[in-house]
Amino acid sequence: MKQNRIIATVLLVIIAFWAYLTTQLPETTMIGEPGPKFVPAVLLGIMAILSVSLYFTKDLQKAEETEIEADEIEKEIEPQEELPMSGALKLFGIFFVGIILVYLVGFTIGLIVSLSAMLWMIGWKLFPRAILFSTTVTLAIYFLFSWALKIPLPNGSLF
Amino acid sequence: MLEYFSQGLVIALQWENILFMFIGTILGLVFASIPGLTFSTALILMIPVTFGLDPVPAISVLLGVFAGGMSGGSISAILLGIPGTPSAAATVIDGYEMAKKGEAGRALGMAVYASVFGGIFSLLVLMLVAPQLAKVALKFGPAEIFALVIFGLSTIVSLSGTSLNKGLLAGMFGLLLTTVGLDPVMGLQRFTFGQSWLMIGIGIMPVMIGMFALPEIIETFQRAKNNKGVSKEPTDKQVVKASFPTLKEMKSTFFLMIKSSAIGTGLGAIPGTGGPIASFLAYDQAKRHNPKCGKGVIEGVGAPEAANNGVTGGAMIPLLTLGIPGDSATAIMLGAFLIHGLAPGPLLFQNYGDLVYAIFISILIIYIMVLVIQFFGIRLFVRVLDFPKVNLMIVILAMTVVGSFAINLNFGDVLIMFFAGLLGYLMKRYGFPITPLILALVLGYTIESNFRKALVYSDGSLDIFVQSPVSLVFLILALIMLLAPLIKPILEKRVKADKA
Repeated sequence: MKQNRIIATVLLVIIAFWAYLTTQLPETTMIGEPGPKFVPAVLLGIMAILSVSLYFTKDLQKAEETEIEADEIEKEIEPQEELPMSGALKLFGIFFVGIILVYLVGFTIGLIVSLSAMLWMIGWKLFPRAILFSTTVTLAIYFLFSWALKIPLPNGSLF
Repeated sequence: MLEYFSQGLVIALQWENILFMFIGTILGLVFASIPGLTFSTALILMIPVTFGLDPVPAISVLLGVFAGGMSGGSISAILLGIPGTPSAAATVIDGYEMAKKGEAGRALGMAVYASVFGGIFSLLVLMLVAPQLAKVALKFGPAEIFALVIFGLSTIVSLSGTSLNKGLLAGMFGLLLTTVGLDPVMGLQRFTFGQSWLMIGIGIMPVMIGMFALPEIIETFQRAKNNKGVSKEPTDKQVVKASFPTLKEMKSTFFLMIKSSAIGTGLGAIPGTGGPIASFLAYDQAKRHNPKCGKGVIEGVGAPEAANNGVTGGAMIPLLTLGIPGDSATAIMLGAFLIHGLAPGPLLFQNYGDLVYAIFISILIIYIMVLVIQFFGIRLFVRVLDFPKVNLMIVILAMTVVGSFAINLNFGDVLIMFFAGLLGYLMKRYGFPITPLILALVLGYTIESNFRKALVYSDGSLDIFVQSPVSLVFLILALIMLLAPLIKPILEKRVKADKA
């Protein structure tokens, strides 16, 4: 319930910001045409109602679609333990730094650095295992795309 | 039709197309065999590779992944008791029981036979129904297209998992994302913040790549760190060998196979239903056919496998004829079609009839490949279950960067992929389903542009949507779909009260 309220608050802030942007759009110039504001405004309205309902009510349980119990499907797929959020955010952070490095110094260096760092974070030895594996994967993909398939990859804006 | 068929046959039988079908099938089987990996990830992985290919081999490889992926989930379901894909969940019940009794080979053989049976059955239905449906759809105007797509979108309800509220929010957010970029009627910039790379809008593919691949990769890394990998191995891998069902078994299960395949094909054609529901419904039929189901009998393996493979051809019907994907895999397929300049819909049949028939024939070839590869190569697939997932995930992570960048050679798409991945992870964690957002993102532009075009034609009168019978029917169906979860509990309460 508390979690839903936090999510609803975040959503309402986003909706308010998006609604402000929508008001800045120009009016239509065509007869009968509702204009560029219409669809975003309707969607934001519906989202606001749904977000508010997320605040006050428990999740509405979906009705069973078939005679077969939906639980039966869930039961057969083993539930997995929840993993800590901080670890995931760290991994996302390293990957984001990697993406920025790809933009700045190019595909190969950027990716080797970020993949090695991620592997090191999950417990691989940085040298030689993580670096060697990341280098092999990155170079194999680089040659496959740049040479074999002739698809250009980012070279880095600094070079 | 015959002309298109012969042209399609020539295209499908070209050696490079067969090679790519083979590669796709192997990849689909491998990804579906490994619990925790999905063949949607394999589709995402292969999309950047297809950029350098012509449309037909590109689609061939993805069809291979799709059909192979549907079939491969049974391997780990039978050998480990863990379904490789959600569609194989019902296969576990009898398949794993058979494996425990030492009949893993028999169960695997039945699974392969049923998969191919279901796949080919659904292909025949697809070939019969799709061209006729496309002819009808060609007559649709903006009002009818709007109503049809709204109906397709209303399936969000059945894709919402346990929370309808969160499913609808995800869907609405997906629609909102489609408003970024150029306005479809006036050509004005909306929500672009002056960034030129946002003028083409938020790309479907970078979002799909991010949302499907990144959360899975991050979770695998975290589990690897915590050493929470799968370690169940109840079957002696050295002795596993698929044995094909006998003629007597085939005869006794023939009508069950037909029934299960029809269930799969029918449900597959309805957007938002898909494999897991079809396989459990078919399993229910198997229980009626053989009361011993649940104790390890071939009917319990064959029925769900025929049904979930029947979904393959069924799901292709709305995708190819109307451009409406029914689930995440077909949404990825739709994205791939668009990348290669082929817009699924009735015009695809009119303009690329040969290609459509090449797709049909390719599906047939792929199912023959599934039969041969799975039957003779089962030992290799058993070994695949041991493959370290982290190594594979590193390759996929690198491919997410390549895949999102190479679509438009635009670095903005890489950023979109990353943030979509982060959003996907948070959505998964807090119980928001991803598929409604993807479906909305795929259909959003069509909805807005046709809605506004229809209003221009009618001088702003909303009557245009109810004057056409086709449009009216689809809108009523959409309303029923959306209101069903609210009305059903009330009706059930009344029925209970009446009984009391």
